[in-house]
Amino acid sequence: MNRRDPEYVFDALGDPTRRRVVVQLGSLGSATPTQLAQYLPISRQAISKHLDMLAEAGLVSVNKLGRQTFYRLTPERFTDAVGWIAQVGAEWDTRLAALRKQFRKAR
Amino acid sequence: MPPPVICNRTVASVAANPLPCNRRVAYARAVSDVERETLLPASPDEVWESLSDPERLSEWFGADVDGKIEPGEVLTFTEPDGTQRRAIVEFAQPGQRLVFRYLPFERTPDGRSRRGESSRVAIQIEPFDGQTIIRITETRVGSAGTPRPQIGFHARART
Repeated sequence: MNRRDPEYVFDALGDPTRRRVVVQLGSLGSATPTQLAQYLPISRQAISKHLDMLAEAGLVSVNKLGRQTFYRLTPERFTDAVGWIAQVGAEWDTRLAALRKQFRKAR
Repeated sequence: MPPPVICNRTVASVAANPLPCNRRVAYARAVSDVERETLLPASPDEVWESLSDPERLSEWFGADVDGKIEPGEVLTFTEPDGTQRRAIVEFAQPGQRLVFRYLPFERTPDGRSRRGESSRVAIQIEPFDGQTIIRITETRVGSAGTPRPQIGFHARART
């Protein structure tokens, strides 16, 4: 299993706390876990773990400057996940419209 | 017992104002799921026939579907452009529930195989006020078609 597979995005974003980290990181642009901890009600250590998981899924990039580690969102990974939802959702919209039509015809 | 929730609303509120469900209601329960549901003017058995009869299924599914709707059977979906996908029926309870899982590869119109998306489709059928609610959930699964390893210490339980 390639950890860069799109399904990892869904697992990584399935956690509400991790989504808050994503939103806050998007707001800050680039941030260390310590900086993020100033805005979130969780510890720096917990934020670091969440960021590691997001990095593993390819949702954030990591840049080490001296002793500090900066994280930044990688938007293309989000685009892929949203693209799957949009495509599959549109397919079901079309199918269910055709199914409704099938029953309208039968009546 | 609390009333079942439909479209994030109760059955009572759907009965009071069924229009949104009739017109299609979409909502996301989880990031990885696509969910749709609609109310059909038919009995659950009639809806099941539209799922289990390959000819009727092909008519609304947007692909020619070949195979039996029975657990363990393989379904072949041929799209209008000739692309073929296959799926395994994991669960089939007539008039109530159908689950199938797409295999993670597809055949292109020129006969080549390529990696495709694997996902699990669960179709739930429930009677409602003389009609039937059909609820679709499609969930992306691992590329090998096996449950994904969980990421993280807050990973959500999956069934």
